Amino acid sequence: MASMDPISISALLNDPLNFQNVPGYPDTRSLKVGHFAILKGKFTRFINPRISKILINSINSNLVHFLLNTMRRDKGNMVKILLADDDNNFGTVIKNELEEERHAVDVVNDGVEAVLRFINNVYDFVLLDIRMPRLNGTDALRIIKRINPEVPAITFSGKAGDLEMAESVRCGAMKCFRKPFEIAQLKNHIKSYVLK
Amino acid sequence: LIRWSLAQALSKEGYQVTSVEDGSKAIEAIKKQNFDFVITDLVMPELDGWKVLETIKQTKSPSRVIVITAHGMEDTMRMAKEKGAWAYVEKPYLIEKIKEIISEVLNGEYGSNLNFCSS
Repeated sequence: MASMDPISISALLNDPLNFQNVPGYPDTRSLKVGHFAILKGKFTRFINPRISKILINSINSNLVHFLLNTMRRDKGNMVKILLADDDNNFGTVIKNELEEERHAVDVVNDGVEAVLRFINNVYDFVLLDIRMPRLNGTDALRIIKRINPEVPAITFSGKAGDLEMAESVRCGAMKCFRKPFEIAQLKNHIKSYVLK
Repeated sequence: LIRWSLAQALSKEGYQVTSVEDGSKAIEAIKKQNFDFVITDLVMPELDGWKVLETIKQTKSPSRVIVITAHGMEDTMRMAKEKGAWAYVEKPYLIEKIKEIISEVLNGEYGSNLNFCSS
């Protein structure tokens, strides 16, 4: 293990710590809450976002590998999800459930908002209610799939008929659930996406 | 679907929730068990929320009734209060509002062992 010189890294609240000064790692790498670091000489998990300055007393190439792998693994488990539903109550329940799984969920209330958000952000997974104002979920999905044909999507509806639900699957939804559905089923589909 | 969302959210908070699909089943449940809260929609099949509210008010130890109304129905809200509803909430942001009400109750004199009937 080749030791490197002590490196002092500043981090403001929620700002990423930058690994760009670490020899061999010229790219910008970020260290966030939950990752491991050497803090005041002690190997520890970085848990306190209020720490304004972290002094990494010693660092070596194995540790850098470990940190980067941890970051990749954390990022790998966290799925960025766009959820579109005009029923705020249902949206809140699904959002809270998925956030418990450590996913990041953005909620919008209609199909137009869903498309606009999708254009302006990167999402790993899309959840769309079928019957929504302005633009329905199936039409929103058609546009989203033209922007990114690979993005996995699940649709759901409480009011749509079987034909409407089947249409959303034809447009690229991996599954269409009848509301209300078992949230565990939804989580399993997202989990299977993560494991791929 | 509102009932399902609400039951999910309140169960998640650790409350014991009994969920029934109409007014007459709500009355049946209320007769069998004491609830700290009854959350009821006003428009329901069989027996509407007004009848549920009226029946609860006639019991010996009436549950607190939270009435669910559509957005912007000021007259309905006022009438619900006059008829003894403890609170009313509007449909679009039901869960957040009810959580607020719960936290107010938890910070008050009532303790945390609350029991809900949602219809």
